[in-house]
Amino acid sequence: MGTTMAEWTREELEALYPDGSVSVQVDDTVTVMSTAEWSAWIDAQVGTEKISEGP
Amino acid sequence: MATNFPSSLDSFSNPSATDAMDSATVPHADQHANVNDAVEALQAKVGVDGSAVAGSLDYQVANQGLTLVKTQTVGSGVSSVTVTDAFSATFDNYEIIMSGGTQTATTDVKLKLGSSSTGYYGFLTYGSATSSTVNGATRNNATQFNWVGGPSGAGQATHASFQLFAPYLSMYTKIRNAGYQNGSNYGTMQGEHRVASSYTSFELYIDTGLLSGGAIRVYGYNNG
Repeated sequence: MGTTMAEWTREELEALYPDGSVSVQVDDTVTVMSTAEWSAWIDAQVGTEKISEGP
Repeated sequence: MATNFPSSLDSFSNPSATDAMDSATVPHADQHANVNDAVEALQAKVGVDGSAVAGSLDYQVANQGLTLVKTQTVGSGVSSVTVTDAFSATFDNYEIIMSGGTQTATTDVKLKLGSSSTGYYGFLTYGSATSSTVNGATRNNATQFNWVGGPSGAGQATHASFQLFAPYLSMYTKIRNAGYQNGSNYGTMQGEHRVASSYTSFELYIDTGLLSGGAIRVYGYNNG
């Protein structure tokens, strides 16, 4: 069974948010995520619904 | 002329270098008297320290309901924003509002106090714009407060809004009236953080997609 069309795949997320494009902010300091942080951030979203309007 | 302030602004006639002390149009003594009257009117309007005069600026500043503590601009393409020095002994309770930005995915905005990742409890009452059914959702000792804001949809305007009670005091922090939105779902979350610690900072974040633009404003409620 594959992933349904309504769920994010890693490939889709990497295309949408490539390494180096995701940051975290503390006050006025914006820091680009390291590759390891970015990879973990991508992993956490894999399999989540693309459109999820409920809580 | 006596001062018109604060009913209206004064318009004094300035003397020239050649005017005599006893000039009929700008008598020297009147010049001093006018300035003295105007300064006294200004002092009355400003008020003394701890003024009890309700019309004085000192009284009004000391007794206003909300004070803007901090405005934090949200950067472009960030997954989280930490706001430091938001809470202090000056105020017990706070109102926090984020507006003017967008987020790339349809998901709710979440909140953490300091770096705490435990002890978050809450209940969300929500419904859809397409149904009159009232729904609920819970968080029982979660790693964050969910449902403190959200977008109209992916790429559209987002927001966060909520009241925090006593985040700086070493006691449980209550959260009230968090304005949840996720697409066409709207609701309100109430809850508390059952960790009796003092916090000076908070983090707003989304776990899917990125935030861009707008600002987070922290207001303190006057302790009175």
